[in-house]
Amino acid sequence: MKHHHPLVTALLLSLSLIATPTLARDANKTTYPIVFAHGMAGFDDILGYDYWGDDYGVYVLDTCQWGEYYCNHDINSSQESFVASVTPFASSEQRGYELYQDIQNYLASSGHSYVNIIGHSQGGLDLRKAAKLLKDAHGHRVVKYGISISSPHRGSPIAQYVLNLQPGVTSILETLAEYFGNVIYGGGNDAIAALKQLVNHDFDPNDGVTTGTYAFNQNYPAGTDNIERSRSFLTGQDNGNMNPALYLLKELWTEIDGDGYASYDANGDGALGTGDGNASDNDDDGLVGINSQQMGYRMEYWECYGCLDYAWTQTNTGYVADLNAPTSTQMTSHAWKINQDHLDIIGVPPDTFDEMEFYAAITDFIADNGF
Amino acid sequence: MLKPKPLWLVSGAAIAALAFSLLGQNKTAKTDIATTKAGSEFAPKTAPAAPESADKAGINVQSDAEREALFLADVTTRFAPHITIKHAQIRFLEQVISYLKAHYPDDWQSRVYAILQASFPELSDELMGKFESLQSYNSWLVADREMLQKMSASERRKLLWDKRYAAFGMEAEEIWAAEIRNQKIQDALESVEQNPDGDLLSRAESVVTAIEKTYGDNSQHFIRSRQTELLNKFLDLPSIQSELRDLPATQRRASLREVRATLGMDNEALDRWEALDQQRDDSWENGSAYMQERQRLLGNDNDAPQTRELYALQERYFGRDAEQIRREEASGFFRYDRERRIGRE
Repeated sequence: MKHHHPLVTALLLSLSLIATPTLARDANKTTYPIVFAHGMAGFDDILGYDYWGDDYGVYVLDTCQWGEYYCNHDINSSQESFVASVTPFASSEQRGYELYQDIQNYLASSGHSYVNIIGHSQGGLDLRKAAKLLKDAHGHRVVKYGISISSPHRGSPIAQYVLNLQPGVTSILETLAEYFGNVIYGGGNDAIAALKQLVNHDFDPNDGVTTGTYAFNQNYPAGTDNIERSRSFLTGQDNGNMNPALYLLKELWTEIDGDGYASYDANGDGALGTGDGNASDNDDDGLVGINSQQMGYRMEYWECYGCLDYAWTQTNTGYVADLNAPTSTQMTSHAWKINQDHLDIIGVPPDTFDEMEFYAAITDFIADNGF
Repeated sequence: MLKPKPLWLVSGAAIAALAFSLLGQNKTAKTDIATTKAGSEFAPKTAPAAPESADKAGINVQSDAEREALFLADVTTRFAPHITIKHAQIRFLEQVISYLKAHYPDDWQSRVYAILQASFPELSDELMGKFESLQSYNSWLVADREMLQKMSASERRKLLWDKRYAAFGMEAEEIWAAEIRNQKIQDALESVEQNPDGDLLSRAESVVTAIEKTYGDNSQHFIRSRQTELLNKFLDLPSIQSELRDLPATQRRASLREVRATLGMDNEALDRWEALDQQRDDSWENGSAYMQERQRLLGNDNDAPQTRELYALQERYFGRDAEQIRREEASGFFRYDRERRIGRE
């Protein structure tokens, strides 16, 4: 048996003390799997980049096996997740139905009875309908956490701008192709229905159908009936740091003034509420004003050096159960907003946002709170 | 929240020593937060205020030097095990850029090299080269974005790779290795679509073979963890849908079972799926009959106003789900008025 010199032993002992428990970098495993619901356009190929990935194609909840590098080193190696895929451009009535079917598929494959859903952009609306249909089908709430990120729950001015063919827009399809790529021309898409979905009011009262977020919110609320815990992340960023595509929208089309309160679409921009007279105060993420984004409680993302980042629920802006009737604070407060644009938090480069750690932090939050 | 984790020894002894002492202080503060947090999902009242700022890392820190030390300790600990891998180098650089932009927006670029030297001194020159390549590649990505958006997916992919090779040489393949891996699976699916010979099972097996080649020892783990996504991708292929549509229901369900088994599903999962298939077949049969009767009642006008007769029809076909169907129809969505995606709905 090899014996160490006392000094070496002391050094080894001190090193072992250094290796004693410290704050962890890896997220705990959630009890129920996480389902990702994508936004308008993208399923796994936005201009060749993976939607739910870092900017280089690594899936944010890819678990690491022994010796593997291209995976998320911040999550538990047995974390379970599912990436749903729905029609890129369609109403949330359709996409929510498809998301429901996809989750049913995943439940059949995995044997799980409950899920958590994280929805980005329109995916945050879709998840509400999916939660309703899942409850109807199973006779109990299937969705534990329903978390939206940057979702236009009360509408997006950009959707109405495009539908109205305002300056800079000559063709709805060409415009969407310009910003989202050729995926718009794929079979099954309905660009008009997709855009009408994201206008707050019924865009065309004479088209025989009732569209828009207002009607959708009435049918698929955020309260606890269908989703055990509704939460939301808000995003907003200054123009200088915005993704160039979104910056161009502001420069060439319209700059959203998205942090004013009104109980109706007072400035007629297609989103509930109004502006505060200053469109340049980081009150939108390029596509959605902050007054549209809160569902349930707000969440805070807290970057930590020396430990895994944190996600928290913050209660001081209150809970939005009736998505059509937020309070003034819920429409105007910038509290807990993440300083990123609409696309930074998914795998669209170039940006320096750490998608891997962000989704690991959300995973840890869900796990630590029992779901 | 507290889990054992070895603290990696990092290069740059002086920085590490300072960082460790500061990390010790910080650890205490964070432990308090974590302890409070563990009992509730809500932010503790004592948690650091986090109003508007994008970066809260310096909240418990007194000076720029302390904050810098904490940052260095964090990134070196995090990236040291993999820093020779090119993808890790790029992700590390992104963290450095993000940190410097947040704290030194006016002269962040001039500070990059010092951070690289302080964190990984033996690699600082290589990392600086990578930083310049990344800046150049990202500038091109921004400048030519419009042109990229107008291209087909294959044209775009080719141009992206040309630019990546130009910026990073062959190391681009290590940086975007995950994308290459994903693309190989996509290529295998496209190959299945373009060569419609063979039955469903053999075509599913060819996808599995491609995965095994791409993932090697990790292929079974990949298949197990992404079973449903792979199944969706396979079933979304138009030629597969067409083949499934031509089969009688019983045979179709048997074929689907074989395909799912090929993707590693066990008997319990296959039985759950079979029950779901049966239930969906029944729903679509019922839904299709409803749509035909609806058409007889209202003609082809899907926008026709709701009538008492239509309500009765919906009640008869859908029972407790009639209200949901009405809601969808009012918005213009008819779930049974489109081609069914076999195996997916």
